Amino acid sequence: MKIAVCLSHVPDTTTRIKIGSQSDQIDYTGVQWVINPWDELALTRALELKELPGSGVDEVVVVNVGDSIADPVIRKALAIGADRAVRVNTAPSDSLSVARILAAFFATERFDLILAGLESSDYNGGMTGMLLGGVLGYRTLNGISALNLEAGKLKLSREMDGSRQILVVEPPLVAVVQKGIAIVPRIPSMRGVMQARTKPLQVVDPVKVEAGLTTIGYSYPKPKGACRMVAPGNENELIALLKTEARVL
Amino acid sequence: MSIALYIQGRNRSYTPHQSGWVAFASSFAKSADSRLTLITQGLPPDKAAQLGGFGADEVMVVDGMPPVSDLHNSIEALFPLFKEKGKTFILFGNDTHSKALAALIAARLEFGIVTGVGALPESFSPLVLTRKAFSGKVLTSTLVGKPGVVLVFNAGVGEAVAGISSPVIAELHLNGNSDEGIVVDSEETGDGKQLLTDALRVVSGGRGMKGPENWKPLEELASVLGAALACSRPVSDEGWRSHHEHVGQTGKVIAPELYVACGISGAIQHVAGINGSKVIVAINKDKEAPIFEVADYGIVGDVNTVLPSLIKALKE
Ligand SMILES: Cc1cc2nc3c(=O)[nH]c(=O)nc-3n(C[C@H](O)[C@H](O)[C@H](O)COP(=O)(O)OP(=O)(O)OC[C@H]3O[C@@H](n4cnc5c(N)ncnc54)[C@H](O)[C@@H]3O)c2cc1C
Repeated sequence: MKIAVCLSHVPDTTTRIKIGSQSDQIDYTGVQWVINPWDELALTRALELKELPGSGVDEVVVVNVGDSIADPVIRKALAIGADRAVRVNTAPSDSLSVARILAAFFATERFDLILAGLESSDYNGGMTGMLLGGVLGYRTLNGISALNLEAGKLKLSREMDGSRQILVVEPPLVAVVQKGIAIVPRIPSMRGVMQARTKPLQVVDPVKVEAGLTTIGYSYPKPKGACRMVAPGNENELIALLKTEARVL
Repeated sequence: MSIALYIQGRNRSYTPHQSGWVAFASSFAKSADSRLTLITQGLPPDKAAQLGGFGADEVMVVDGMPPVSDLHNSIEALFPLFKEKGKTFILFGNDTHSKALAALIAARLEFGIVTGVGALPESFSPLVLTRKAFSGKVLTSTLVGKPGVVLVFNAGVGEAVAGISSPVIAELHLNGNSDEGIVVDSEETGDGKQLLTDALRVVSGGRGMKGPENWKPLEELASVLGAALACSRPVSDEGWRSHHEHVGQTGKVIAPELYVACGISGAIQHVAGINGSKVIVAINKDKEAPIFEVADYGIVGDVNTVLPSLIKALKE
């Protein structure tokens, strides 16, 4: 069995996001790039599965759509334990374009299980994984919070709003994973970092796709009004404000 | 022009967020000078009609659908309906099942897709939408180049007023195929408690609560308010509370009317999950805690004393 983990590179979640002087782009100077938190959890689970005795998982491959800015992040994924990496060489744009580019790659190399994170923490679109499944025509499920192998099939928990199903699914599958799939992301070991230098990072050309959406401008949200302080001991006053001013009680 | 909104009922009824989505879709349709068709699944016709009354012109009550885990066949079954009723816009709420269908129909129709929609478009022609990105740190304006678009609404949008429209109701029995490669091994349907993502009031605890044994006052506050409980990530990572209660960038994203943060510092990753709340109340002993930058009302004080007196005051 072969597992692919779709990996997006995003600014560290604590980064201050700066809009460029033309306000039609983000100024990424000095930004620290990291593996998208969800993808890090997906990778962690893929590696855990591979290490299970007799798992039958032959390799775990990370696949990124990005330009060379993503390379250090991809190397980190290799250091964490992925066997090899593929970078489709283009700056990612809207989620349908990225999904099509990924689908074109996955048409050239078949995986039994393709994992994608719930969303990437930059544009928070949350659609790439499902769109990929749609374009590729594989079985596709979102809301996956647990993943196991069982006799060549995949046993998953799917969290729906108000219910949870345990599903047994025949590969190939695109699974969009969320909290629970793994709890603590793996970090690279010293040995992992050394090995990552020589692991294959294959750069492939993207197919041409026409972007349907364009980001034409950025702005900062309006700052929120000052917080209204109530002195401890005056909880009655807080309740009155919530009733008459905020009207939420 | 035609606009379709899809809603899957919950326990054969609908939630306040779902009626908000109908109301919001209706203002969308009005601004675009178009009719709104509500497509429902898992709702009895009377409930579907009630839900449609929040602003739809027409309701298609669908049954006979493939199981919810069989997404491709679900889309196969709904496809003709979406194609006919959603020529310009196909709209969804942001629950798990709706998001899945949104992506698959967009891929199938080659429609652009924009999620996180919380406001009417800046303009309809050309179509420009504003949404938050980078977990609320910036706003982006997105231009949709060609007609035909799928939009996913945030929770908490729309001013729902019951009975403002009297939609035409049609029942439709679809015969979907089903995929034998997906077997439902077991299913748990909640414990009857309100869902965190549905709740209009949420009481949340952070590391400042010091330990799981101190959750009693939060539970009591939640029960007086009729609120659901939530927590920060370290609280669920430590196993003090279930992962289902974790809100934030890597947990659930919620948009209640009232969010009460107790002993939560307000890290950017936490705020990412709650900044859609209408009103935020913070209780924290550190007056410099960043939570006060996003809160509407604050008490600088110790949760151990503030919570009991807040509960007492509410009960009076
Ligand atoms: C990639 C990534 C993703 C993350 N995702 C999330 C996420 O989804 N959700 C999330 O919550 N966090 C997330 N975090 C973690 C986040 O950065 C913070 O560490 C976390 O939110 C802090 O939780 P806290 O506020 O409970 O604890 P702390 O930051 O420790 O804050 C505790 C607060 O309690 C106050 N306090 C202490 N004692 C009392 C008392 N007796 N009375 C009143 N107040 C008191 C303190 O003043 C302090 O402000 C993420 C981090 C990373 C790196």
